[in-house]
Amino acid sequence: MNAAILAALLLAPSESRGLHESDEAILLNAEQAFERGVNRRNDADGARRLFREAAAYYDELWNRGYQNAALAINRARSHRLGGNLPGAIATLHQGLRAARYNRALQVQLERARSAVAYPDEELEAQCRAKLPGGIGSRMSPLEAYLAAGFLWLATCLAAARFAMTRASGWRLASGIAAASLLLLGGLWLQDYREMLHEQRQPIVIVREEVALKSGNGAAWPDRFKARIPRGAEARELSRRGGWIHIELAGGAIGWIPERNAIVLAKE
Amino acid sequence: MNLVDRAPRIAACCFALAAVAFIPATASSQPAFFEPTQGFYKARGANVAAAWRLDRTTVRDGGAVTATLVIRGAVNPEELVRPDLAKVRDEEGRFPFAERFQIENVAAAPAKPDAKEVRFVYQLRPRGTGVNRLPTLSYWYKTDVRVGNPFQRTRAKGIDITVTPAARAKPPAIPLNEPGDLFEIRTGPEVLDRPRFSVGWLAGLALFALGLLASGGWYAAWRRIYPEGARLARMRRNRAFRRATQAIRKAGRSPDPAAAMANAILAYLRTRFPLPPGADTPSEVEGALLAAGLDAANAGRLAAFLRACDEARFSQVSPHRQPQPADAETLLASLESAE
Repeated sequence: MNAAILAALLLAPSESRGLHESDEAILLNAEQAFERGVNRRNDADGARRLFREAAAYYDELWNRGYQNAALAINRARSHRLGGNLPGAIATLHQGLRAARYNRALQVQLERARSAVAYPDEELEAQCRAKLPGGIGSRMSPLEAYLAAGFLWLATCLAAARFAMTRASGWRLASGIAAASLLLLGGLWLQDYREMLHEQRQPIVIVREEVALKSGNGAAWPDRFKARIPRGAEARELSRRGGWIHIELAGGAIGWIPERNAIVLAKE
Repeated sequence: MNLVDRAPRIAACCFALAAVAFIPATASSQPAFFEPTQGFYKARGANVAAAWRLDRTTVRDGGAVTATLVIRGAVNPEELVRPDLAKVRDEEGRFPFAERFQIENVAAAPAKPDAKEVRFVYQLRPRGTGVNRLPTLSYWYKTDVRVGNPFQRTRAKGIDITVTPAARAKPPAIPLNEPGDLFEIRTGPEVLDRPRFSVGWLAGLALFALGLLASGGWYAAWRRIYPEGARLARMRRNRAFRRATQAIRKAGRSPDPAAAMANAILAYLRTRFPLPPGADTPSEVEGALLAAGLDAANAGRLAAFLRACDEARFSQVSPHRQPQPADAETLLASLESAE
């Protein structure tokens, strides 16, 4: 009986797109939908529908584990062309989680942020987030591994040569290599600690234009005269009663409804 | 009796004649007794039936339906009159057709005398989406009944219709205004690439071990190939020896290599042994070394090397007889090992 129920649950139709399609088939569908959208770019409404369809296919591939920079870029472009700028920004953040060092993703995110329509300069100064720095955004794990390996090997071999020759030059070389290795390790450790700090405060992206309230309720006064535009980013501090307590890049804090926000799950 | 006496009689006769002529004329234009005031369209027959036919029952606002009134059973089809729907009134005095529709008669060929049915076609355009029915039409006809009311009524039953809102005019297409590079996507196998490389503790441990193994293996191989290498390396820690060997190595770049080597060796010897200040010549150096306790072989080799340097400095010697830095280093090394 239990086996029958389990089988029925496993075989129940899923709402996700293309559950039974192969990965290649889904990719083909996505590319075809995108191409049709490009061909209809003179009709915004029709084209956006097709791009949203392509975005759904690309999202399915992402959820199946193909989390790489190329797919992240395709997702972001499909969402943005489909009229979903907040979704595009969210997918770019997800892509940067998988490949923080990828320059193309960083550029795409900056451009998407530029497309957010801030009503005034004060709000833009508060909301405009900066790209994360640190060595992790400039060097891939493989590059770091190879660099560390090279420096460690240089340290050991120079030390061995010093033991053979007792020449001070080799001692100096070994010292420099070791210092470089320590520096590299220190930078990665700092980057790791910053990443941990960021993970404690998930990224929040405004889905629809909303007023930033002083408290968790519509009756509270607004923090700013203007409303926060869709696509603006913030960090989640806490939640209460269907409202999210957020902190903007400029340091201002306030509350927005959960339904107006896209929250990127913690890693 | 004269004409004056006959005048009233003549006038009465004229009046009677006129009345007789007028009454039939007027009588023919008056409706027959029992004839309804409306709804009678000259149909005669024993059993006349009327019915509505529509080409469709759903029409968009602004559109029109074609309604056909079909009359069957009339014995005088060629005499039937088209009902004027615009003037049809109901019991309440309202105009059920005119209020609901714009009415347009569609002309058709007149019915033949032997036609089984007569059709009257109308183009009806609903006046709004609130119109939901083609009303019933009362249709009177005359039977051959001689006693009582010869007029009978039939009805063309109404039909429900649906008027849907008019289609909105499609707005003109607006092009998608986005940067051009957004319309390009990445293709190829990289899109379906799963991240493979991750630095785990195992990878780090492997790297650590590789460094140790490489350096340790190199040192072990060097010890095997050069057994005295370690001892010589310890010797190089001696500052005087280090300075002398450095000076000897640099001697090749000096203008007078022989002099540089000789000075380097003398400086070393003065540091390591109590040579008298004036001992400069090879013989004096040899004597001083012997007096200091150095063995005769090493002292002799040192003196011979110093002589060779002097010879190279002050006389013409062939290149193969020039004193070599390697020989100087070997001499110094043998001195260190002798210590």
